[in-house]
Amino acid sequence: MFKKIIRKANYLSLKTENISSRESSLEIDSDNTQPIPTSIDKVKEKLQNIVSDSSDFVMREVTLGNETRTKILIAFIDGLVEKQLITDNLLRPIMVDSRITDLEQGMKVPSVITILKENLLSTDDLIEVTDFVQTVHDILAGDTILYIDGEEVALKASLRGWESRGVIEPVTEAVVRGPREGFSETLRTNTSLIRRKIINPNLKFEKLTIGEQTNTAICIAYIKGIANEEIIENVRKRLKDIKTDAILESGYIEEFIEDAPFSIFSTVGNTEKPDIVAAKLLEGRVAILCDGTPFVLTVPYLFVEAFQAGEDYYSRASFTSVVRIIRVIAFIICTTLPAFYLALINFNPEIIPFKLLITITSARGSIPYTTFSEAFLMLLGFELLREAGVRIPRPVGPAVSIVGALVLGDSAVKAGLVSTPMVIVTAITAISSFIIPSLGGVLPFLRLAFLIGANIIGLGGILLTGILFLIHLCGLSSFGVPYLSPFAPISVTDLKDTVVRFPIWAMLTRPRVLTWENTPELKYRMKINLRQKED
Amino acid sequence: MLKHIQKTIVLLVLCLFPLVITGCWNNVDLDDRGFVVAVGLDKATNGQFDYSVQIIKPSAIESRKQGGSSVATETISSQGQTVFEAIRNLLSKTDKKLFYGHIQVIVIGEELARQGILNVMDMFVRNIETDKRAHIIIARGTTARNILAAEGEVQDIPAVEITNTLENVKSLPKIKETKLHEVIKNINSNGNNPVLGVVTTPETTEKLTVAELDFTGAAVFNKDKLVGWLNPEETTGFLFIENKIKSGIINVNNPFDTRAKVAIEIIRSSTKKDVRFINGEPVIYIEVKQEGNMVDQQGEGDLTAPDKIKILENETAQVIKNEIYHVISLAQGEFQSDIFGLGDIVHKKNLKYWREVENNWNGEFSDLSVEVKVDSRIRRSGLIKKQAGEAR
Repeated sequence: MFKKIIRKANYLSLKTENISSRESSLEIDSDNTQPIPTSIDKVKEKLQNIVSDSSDFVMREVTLGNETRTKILIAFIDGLVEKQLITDNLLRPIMVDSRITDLEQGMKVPSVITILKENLLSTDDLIEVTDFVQTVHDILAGDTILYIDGEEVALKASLRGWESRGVIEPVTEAVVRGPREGFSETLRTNTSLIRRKIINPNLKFEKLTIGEQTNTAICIAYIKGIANEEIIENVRKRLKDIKTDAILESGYIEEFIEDAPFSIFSTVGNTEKPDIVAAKLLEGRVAILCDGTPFVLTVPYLFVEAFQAGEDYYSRASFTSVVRIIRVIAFIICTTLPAFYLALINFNPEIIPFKLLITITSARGSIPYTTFSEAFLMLLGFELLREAGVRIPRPVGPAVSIVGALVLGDSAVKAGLVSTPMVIVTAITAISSFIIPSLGGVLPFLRLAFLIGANIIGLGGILLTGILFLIHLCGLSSFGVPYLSPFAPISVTDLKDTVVRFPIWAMLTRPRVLTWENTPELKYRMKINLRQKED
Repeated sequence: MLKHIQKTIVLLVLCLFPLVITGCWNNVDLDDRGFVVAVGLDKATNGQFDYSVQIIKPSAIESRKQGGSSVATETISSQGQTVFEAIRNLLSKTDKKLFYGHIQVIVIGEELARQGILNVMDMFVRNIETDKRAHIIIARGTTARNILAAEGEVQDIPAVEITNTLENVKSLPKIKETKLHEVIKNINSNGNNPVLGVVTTPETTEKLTVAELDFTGAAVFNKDKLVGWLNPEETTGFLFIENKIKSGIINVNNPFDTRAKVAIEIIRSSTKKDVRFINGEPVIYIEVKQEGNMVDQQGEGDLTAPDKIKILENETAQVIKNEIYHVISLAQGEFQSDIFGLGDIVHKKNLKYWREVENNWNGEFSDLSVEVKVDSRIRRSGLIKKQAGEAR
């Protein structure tokens, strides 16, 4: 039997080798380097081979000067560059300025490159590249490359510019008070948004490229000296280990690097707001920015973070604490309310006040199926409505609410298909589940699990299900940090920002669970600061 | 390592603890349950138990809400040699699983009560489902089945109307309200005999309604057997001794005009009952501290003068004292039953003496001398000094 398995494994590994060898038969291989041919015609031919069918690929051959008459090939992708800048800063100097000046005669020129770099081209960054493969990548990423006849060196000018969405308020994380800017799809814009929040040389943006086909630019952001080195190293390693064709959104990365891929709980956080990322970086977390998406990942991600919102830190501590408690209540309600309803009316009706029970009984009247089926159908209906609400084109949107409110709510009750109390239970559950959006992917599972547990052994089932999930949560960790910390294992100093939020001036230490290091010196320093303030 | 295992075991046990307190494991849908709101127990002519239950009809309640007039409950009866057999026989008359978790009232017929209620109580105590807060009353001069047949007028459910009326004892201390758990607690005690509520029907009616039922008075038991009745005034006296007076009215003579009465509303009352041993002989000692407001004056005169208030206070105290003496003499004489739980006090205070008299306590109790002290105060007399309309 083992032989069979080993044979199968060998076959599979051979198959993957075949695939990779087929890929390397293409003109360029990202792992190898090739020198740039000195002849401009050779370059042209090679480029044409590589990008033969791409209509957006632009090659422009120009001649420099009156006497040297060096040929220069300018290559870029149409749409990824600012054309005006190319005209002003590359074409005009080479084609016009070099002729009307006496540049060539006036000095003894060492090389064309020097002339171009030092005297002619007025772009801010101009880098020499010697690797042909690299130049192709740069062109595809939006840079402009100048191949010079007779030289082994090409010049790279970064004149990128493309259509992009501006920095607008994110739809998913609306705030009443707080910055309204959100990340956009461009990596550079996103890093600049963070940079503007934290003006500190220790803020690092490490660049990586992932995706064999897409070559997506990824950025690891952290603050050196605050973030734990081990976590940073861990993030680097996990990102480098990703072997995949494409990274189209940070969700791809999330699935590759998360600690518990089979758990329903996410151990990687995401946000669209620069202020939240900045705050998390300052706490010692590491952010992963991905080109092409406004969603920035943050690790380590703990369970409590689902209950925190950016706005919490901009409004008063007392109010925030109340809101946090409401969120916890909402979490309990939206996971267990249908289950509790079922357990109470089917298993322990003696607990329900008599008059309420009579009302429920008469409302349930002649519902043709069991409470469990009723609850299940209503929750299914809610999930359908929710999904429809997300997918439906905006102009048709109101149709969903009409169908939902009238058909599922009113008519279903009048037709005797569902009871009024169940509609109320579902409605409260639904509203509560919108209070904690970051747990949105978990709630339907939890709700169903609790409901099934309740249907089997009543309140005991709810408890058992709760205990099982608690055990699971205790076992999770995110980049070495226990998922339930600072509650389990308990870290008393970190409780300042959990169910209640202490005032900002009382939060003296960084989260110990994230930095792992005991930071007495930091505490000491803060104390000195405070004392000086008092003096 | 060992510590680690210990910790794990402790945590597991802690996790399992809540599981055992979560109650029933039977999944029964609401519409399959028949909610029993009232139970009636009688002695049938053939010597068997006659068992009636009042069950809610959810559909009828729904239609009543929309203006229909169908009866919200139905009453079904069966018979059996034991109570439980009767309950099982009941299943031939209903399609639902009967549920006793919200039982409001248990009615016991007079005839059955005279033979002893212990035999019927047993089932309710054993059954985990029964709501032990259910009221328990004795149907005087009629059967429990008749009481259950009475229709509700104010409430959809007659049993609820009965309970609500019984709970009026808070302001009308002529009703005795007893709950199942209180009876269970006392029924086995040698030194404390139960006193239960009473319901009587009017002489002649075609169709009985709950509003016509009379709940005043009380039923006196010796051990578990019914021995006699207290009338409404005697019930008040009994409630004074039991420290169960929340409110109530005491009428006293107007000092200016003996034919007219003045009503004193009790606002606070507390009673200490005790058995004191004087020269080795037990003496019943009852001390009442009562406060009231003057709420209604018949006849003329300014009763707010300090001396007149004093007179009123003394008269109130006298009225209460008389009621108490009267009810104690009834218990000692006519009923020969210690309904005040004095035996339990003796038990706690003087075990040696109790051992001697334990088996004949009710006889001993009848010979005890009684001392009653009542301290009555009038706190307020309302907004006016003299009778309304009289010139100031």
